[in-house]
Amino acid sequence: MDLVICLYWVAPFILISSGSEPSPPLIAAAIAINLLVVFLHYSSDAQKYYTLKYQPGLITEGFFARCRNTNYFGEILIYSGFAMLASHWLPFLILGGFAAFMFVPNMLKKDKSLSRYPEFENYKANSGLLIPKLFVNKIHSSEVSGVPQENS
Amino acid sequence: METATKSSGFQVTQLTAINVAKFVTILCLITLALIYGVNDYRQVIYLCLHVSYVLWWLLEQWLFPQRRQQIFTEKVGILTFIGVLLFVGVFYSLPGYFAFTNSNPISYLSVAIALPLYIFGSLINTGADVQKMVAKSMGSGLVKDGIWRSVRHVNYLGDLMRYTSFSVIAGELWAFLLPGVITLLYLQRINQKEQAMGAKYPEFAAYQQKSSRLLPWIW
Repeated sequence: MDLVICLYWVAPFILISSGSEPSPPLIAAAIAINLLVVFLHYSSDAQKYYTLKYQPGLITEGFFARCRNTNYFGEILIYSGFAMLASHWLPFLILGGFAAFMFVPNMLKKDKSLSRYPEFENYKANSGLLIPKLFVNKIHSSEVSGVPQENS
Repeated sequence: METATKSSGFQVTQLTAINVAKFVTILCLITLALIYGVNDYRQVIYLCLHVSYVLWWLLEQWLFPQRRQQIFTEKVGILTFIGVLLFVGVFYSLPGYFAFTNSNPISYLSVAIALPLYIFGSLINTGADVQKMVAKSMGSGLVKDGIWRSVRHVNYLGDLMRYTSFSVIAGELWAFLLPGVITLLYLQRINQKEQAMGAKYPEFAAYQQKSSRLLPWIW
């Protein structure tokens, strides 16, 4: 398994060993993608952690309202940013391999586990497995309004 | 403000004004790019950081619609609206001006300082917001665990780290005017919140004893 994880080092190895310097627009795109999805990835983890801490159950709000695997979506985009900088097909192939043989089976397993919740069918219809379903006719019945956000 | 609101009939929430101001910031940065050009990684990185932050600000409200009912809900009139556009829209792009007019190539040290400041500042700020939002929606009272356990206004700390990173990329002393002014603003808010929380939560005094206001272990 450790050896498989080492495949993630291929992108930086190619980038450094090739001696090529990515163009400024490519660097800009890679940095912007990385920054945005790092927040998506870790903030969705934070939402999940604290929601389950206070009240275990199916999470259908916030980061998870339109995507059931925001963390995997974020992780794939983070490594896509690295692969873009390497500008080589191999890191994309490796990332595709991780997605196909590790992430997707885990996502399907998680879907099966979450199906024990009665509200899962409705949630599944309104959210994407990996890519956020942006346009849905969903009324967030569980949305909380008027809740103070500040401690004061 | 009320007079202005009544006389003009114009009324929006503070949050709407701030959201419009964020677009003004992006327009200011695009204008600077068109006038001065993108000649160095200083400008490339600056645009990435500041534009990503503005997009994140808007994305967060789309992801958590309840935030729109929680923050900056006060109604403002046309004069305050213009004031917000000038302050949050134009003044907040001040480090951008210095980034675009600074012709010196950016140093590796500046990048190495600014990127972690921005990334960790944003994670701290967003993590704190997310935790508090979840806790409050679950009926929790004073939030004093998790990311809030050591610093009582940790969301402000994250925000200040992020704004400081913009000034580091700009590489001019005057660019630090923005985080300086925001710090003064936050110091005033911290003072108000400390008093309000002290009056509202009996356990606040104990929380005060074992945590810092803004800077871990210092203040």
